[in-house]
Parts: sequence; structure tokens; C-alpha cells
Amino acid sequence: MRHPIQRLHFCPSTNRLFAAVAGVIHVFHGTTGVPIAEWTAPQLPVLAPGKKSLNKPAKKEEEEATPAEQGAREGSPSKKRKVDEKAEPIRTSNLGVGAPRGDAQGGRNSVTKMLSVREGGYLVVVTNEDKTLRVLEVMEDGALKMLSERAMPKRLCAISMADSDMTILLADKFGDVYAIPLLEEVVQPRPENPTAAQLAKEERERLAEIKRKRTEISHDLPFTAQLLLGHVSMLVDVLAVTISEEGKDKMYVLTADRDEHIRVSRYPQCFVIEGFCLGHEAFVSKMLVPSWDKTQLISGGGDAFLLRWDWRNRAVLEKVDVADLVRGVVGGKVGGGKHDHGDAERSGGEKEFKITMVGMWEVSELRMLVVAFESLPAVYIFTLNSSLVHTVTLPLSGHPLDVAVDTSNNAFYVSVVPASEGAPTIEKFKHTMDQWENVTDDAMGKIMEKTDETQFVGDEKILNEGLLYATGLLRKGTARTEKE
Amino acid sequence: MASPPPPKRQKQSGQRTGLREKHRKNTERKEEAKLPQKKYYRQRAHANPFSDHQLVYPSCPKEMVWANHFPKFFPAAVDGATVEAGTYSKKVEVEVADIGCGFGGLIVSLAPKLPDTLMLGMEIRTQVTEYVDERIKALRTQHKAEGMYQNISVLRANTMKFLPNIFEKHQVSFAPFGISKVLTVYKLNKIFICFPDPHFKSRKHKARIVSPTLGAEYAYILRPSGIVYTITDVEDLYKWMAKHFDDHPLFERLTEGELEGDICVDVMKVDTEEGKKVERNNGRKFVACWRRTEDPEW
Repeated sequence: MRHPIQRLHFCPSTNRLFAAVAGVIHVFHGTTGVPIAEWTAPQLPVLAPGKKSLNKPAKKEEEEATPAEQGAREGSPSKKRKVDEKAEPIRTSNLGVGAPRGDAQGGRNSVTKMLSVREGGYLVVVTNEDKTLRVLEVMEDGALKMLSERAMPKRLCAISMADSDMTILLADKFGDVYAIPLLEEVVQPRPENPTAAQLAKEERERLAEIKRKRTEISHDLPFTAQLLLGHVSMLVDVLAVTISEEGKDKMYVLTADRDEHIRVSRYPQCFVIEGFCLGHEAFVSKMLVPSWDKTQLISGGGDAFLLRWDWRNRAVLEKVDVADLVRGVVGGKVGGGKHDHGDAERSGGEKEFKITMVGMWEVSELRMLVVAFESLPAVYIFTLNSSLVHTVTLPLSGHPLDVAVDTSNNAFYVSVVPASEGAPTIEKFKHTMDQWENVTDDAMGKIMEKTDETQFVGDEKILNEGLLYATGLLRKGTARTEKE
Repeated sequence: MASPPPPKRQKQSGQRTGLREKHRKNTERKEEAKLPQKKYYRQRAHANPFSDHQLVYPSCPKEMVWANHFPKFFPAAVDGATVEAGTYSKKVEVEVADIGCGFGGLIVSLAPKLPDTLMLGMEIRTQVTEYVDERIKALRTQHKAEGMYQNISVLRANTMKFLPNIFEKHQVSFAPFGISKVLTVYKLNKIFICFPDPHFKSRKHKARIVSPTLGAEYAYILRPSGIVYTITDVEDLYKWMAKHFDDHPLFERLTEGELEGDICVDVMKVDTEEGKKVERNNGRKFVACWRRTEDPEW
């Protein structure tokens, strides 16, 4: 089967479309669809000094250790473990124990986040399998060149930019948010042939370190990183919002977690929590602060409604029911809410369609939002002025995965799970004459021709649960969470 | 002479004797206001704070019906009238929170000492919470004449995740209808963290109740000049907690002198269940308290 395009990103300043298929990022010209370049994420963790946590077969996501403590547990020199790793290169992962690997192109290290920053000069990329953040430089001709890679202790869930795009905010599965500079200063590499004395010294220092940190936890990563704030629940989204108040620009960090919280913290004084926006009944999977009115926040997730907030005062302005809209496409019973189990029995055997928001994107010029739900072959267009109003439902050929908005042309791309072998993997809609039109042109053909090259071999369940339909698994009581 | 006592029957794990059920459902005991017996409510000491459990929690603090917890302080509830969520009088605010109250030794002991202060114990283990609940009920009945123990209550909660669902921000300003002045209500004044689970393994550090990031949440619910009390018998954990509160910009350590004469410190040392146990074993107790400072200038 063809591997769907799990992530899309459009950079208006350079007019380029980025499409991530498994571990490959394709760059296309925004107008012609001509492939410009491609970049493949490394499929095996790159061994670098200090990144020991990658060497260990991950038993369980939650049980992983940071490099320092891992040393404490195993007490063997790092050099030795590197050798071990080479002998046993297959790691078990969250995608399934001993999961069959895809082919050379469709490996398991898939791109889960892409963001172009500084007018398209850089592309920030997050991959799921090695939990690594990579900063790529986008060259003049569109080619991607890797500048840095930084392995984080936990799987990353969301990224956002702060300090005029010079700082990356990373939200992880452990509930922590780190601030990391976009451009990393060069770390001195280890000398090529360390002498025995040097090795002994390093070993002594390492043991001393372990002793010091018996119950101590080190957040020292082998690169500059600041732990800004943390929830105890898994984080799902993070936003940095700068807003002018009392004559100065103030920045806030908004974090959304699996336990219905939206936290509003100051930045950089993240230890001061301004408040919580509480009102969701299920997980929050996406937040959006419209660029034309930064005092508002739209949030959605596992609920049958979206909430519009005055987030600075933590007040719900509007609750927009989407159950009817979803029912219009699904046909059957729909619902949202906290739990997954027990619904089938209560409703007399009919399985309720659980509403799960995949994402929201703004078309700023038109003051419109594009909203997509998981396993639902349509996208919904809302207008947001004084209130959030649904205007039109655009049917898709398959389930939406990601949306990329071309703001300068009032158009957007949707990547979909192809319904059949010949079905498209990406669709484009353009706003003309007050209508959204589905565009099928040469450019789209060229894009698909390129992305269709990647095949997925193996268990589709692994692909679905690990990458394509992962949002719904945030709901409590679903198969994965019950194992806890 | 006497034959040796019969060997203690080894209870197999998971075997149900029905004694617990019987004790807990014993209405006679409840009518006589006899205290529940701890042995029927024992539960393993650790709970996974990351698990979803089958937790029931308010979706926001406005949904907390405090009148159910402290009926005597909400006269409407005593008259049999239903009290709506969110109803609260200015005077009546929960000011003391015991995070991980266990079998409730601290709040039960503080209740007569601070009779006008509302105190809430929070515990993640269901059976232990049930015990504290029964204990408070029995105490209230026993001391009905004096009206004691009306100011304490217990709630099953995962405080690490849901503190902001239970308590409002430390300081709530509002303009009541018809009054031009803005009133400010201060909330929590004291937080107790007594003998928390040390979670020794460093890879479990996130499960500890004091962590580099949770300080922000405690500061969020605690009013400026409010105090966090901590006590533990594990030196490593003491160091850990001290480091993270010391490092936190919103907390300052109380000096020995300031602690002296604080009734809460004595109660925490002597009257908590764990405190008594440590006493019996001649263990050391490490006490450390911090004052919440004002939010810094933006």
C-alpha cells in the first residue's frame, strides 16, 4: 500500500509545500508542484556522545531514563554499551514490539511535526521514533541541509516558536515543556583518540556524578535546554502568544494536556501560572489563537464541541456544538466525552462515533478556520469574527491527516488516507468567488506522483495507531491507555 | 503446658474474607459513631499518579460543592435546602490542604486547634479515603454537642494532576453586583505535604509530589505569604524537596526561628500516622517549610 502523507506544511514566504511521507520530506514548488528536493530522516538513532538513552531498547515509553540516570542504573561504561547497540540494532518501540519495518523509505522513524521558521529559512522537524528534534536549513534552491539534531528524553508532542523564532518550545509526552535555541552553538567533539588517562578521568567523573545523583534527576541534556514548565499529564499542544498589554509586549505560553487542562503561563517566567482554561470534558488536542484577534482562543479535542475563550480571563465565550455537523457526514450516532468504554452497551449495541479533532488551521485573510476530525472524510470551514460560525462542509475522498494553508492564495491542501488504491492522497481547495473549489490540476498530479513512491510494508494497524489515527487514542479507556 | 499457638493462617493474595466488606457496611457501628478500624482499609502504599484510575473530579473549581464537605459552614445545606455548585460565602474558604493525607492524622489533630479554618485532606487511594471519611463522620457524631470536626473533610483526588480542578487561583478578585469596589478573596493559606512517597528510583522522579515543575502549581493555589509544610523521614527526599522549593522563585525557606512555635509543625511531627511510626522506630524527621512570595514584576 502507498504510504499516506502524514504531515503537510506550506511556507508562504518561499511558496513551497513540504510533505512528509514516513521519514521522507518532499519539497514541492507551491504553484507548479514540481519536486524541488527531498530529505530522509535517519532510520537508526545516531550515536553521539551523551546520547546514551537512545542506545537502550525502550521497554516502555514512561520508563525511559535520561542519560545520566541510565548510567546510574547500568553502571557500565558508555563505550561498552555502544558496542552492544551495534550488535543488537533492532529496537522495540511504541509502534509495536518487534514490529516489522517498512522498506528502506518507509521506515518507522516518521516525521510528526514540521514547521518553517524565519521566513522559511529553516525547517524544524520532529520525528517520533528517535524523539529527535532536527533543524534543517532550507537552501536558496529549496534543498534541505541538516544543521543540528537534538535527541530529547521523551517523545515530542508539539512544537511552537518564541522569541521571534529564535527559541523552539517543545512539549513532550511526559508533560514537560523545554525551550531550546533554534541554532545550536557547536559542541566540541570528543578527541579522536583519547588517551588511557583521559578515559580513566572521564570514568571517575562519571561515577562521581552518579553518586551525586542517586535520587537526583538531571535535566542536563547534551545541549542547551531549559525546562520551562511541566504538567503531570501528557501534553498535546503548546502555543506561544505575544500580546500587547499595558504598553508592552507580553508573551504567554499556553499548554494543553490529556486531562482537559489548558494552562496559561507567563514567559519567560513560566513558574507563574496565570490561570487554567477549564471547560473541556475530554482531552484537548488542538488550540488556535487567531492571528487577527489574539485575545481569543479556540480549542477542541475529544469533545462534541469547540470552545471559544477569552483566554486571558479564562472565560468561555462560546460553546460551538459540532455533533450535528459530524452526524451529517457519519450518519450514525456521534458523541464525545471523557471515556470510550461502555457506550456500545448503553446505546443498544450501536457503536457511537467518537468525535476527535485532528486539527484546526486558520486562513487569516478570510478569517476562516479549517477544522478536521479523525476518521471523518470531510473538513469543516468556520468563520470567526464576533462568533464562530460553520459555513460549509467540504467532503474529502478519505480521512484527513493534515492541512497546510497557502495564505497568500487563500487555498489549502489536505492530505488524506487514500480510500482505495487509485484514490488521491492529497487534495487542494481554493477560495474563489466566495466558494471553496476542489482543485485538481497538473501540480497536484506531480505532487502525488512523487509522494506515491513510498510504500508501506507491514502491519497496517501499527501504522494506523502509531501515526495516522493516534489522536483518538488519547481518550481514556481506549486500548492503549487501559494498559497503564 | 499450653500448646503453641496455631500457626497464623497465611492469607493468600487476592483471597477475599469478606471481613472488610462486613466492617465497612456495618451500620450499627456507624450509628454508635464508633471509629472505623484501620486494618479493614489498608491499601498498598503506592499509587501510580500517571494512571487514569477511575477518578471522579470536578471539571473546574466552580463545580466543587463545598457545602457537601462542610455542611455546618454552609447554613443553607443544614436547613435541607440544596446548595448549588459555586455557592460560597466570603468568609468560608478552604484554607488548609493536606496533599496525600493518608489516614487523616494531621487534619483530625488540627481540627480542634484551628476550629474556624476549613481543612481538606486529599488522598489518591480509595480505601484510605473511605477510612478518613468514616473517621470524620464518626468524630462529628461523637462531638456533636461541641460541634467539633465540622471543619475537616476528605476528598479522593490525584492532586498532581487535578489541583487546579479543585482549588481556584490563590487570589480571586471580583466586583459584586451593586458594589463599586472590587473585592479580593484569598484562598489557600497552608499546604501540607507529609511523608510523601519517596519514589526512590530516579527515573520515577516525575512521580514525586514535589518536582521542578509542580512548584508552579502549588504557587498557583497558595496565596502569597501562605506556607508549604513538608516533612519526611527520608533524607534524600528531604534534599530533593528542599532543592526544588529553594530553587523555585516563588518560595522562600522559613528559618528555624520562624518555625518555632508554629503549632502546625508540631502537629505534623507528632500527630501524623507516619510521624508516630517514625517515632516508634526512632527515625529522624526532616521538616522544611517555605513561604509563598508575591508574583514578581512581569
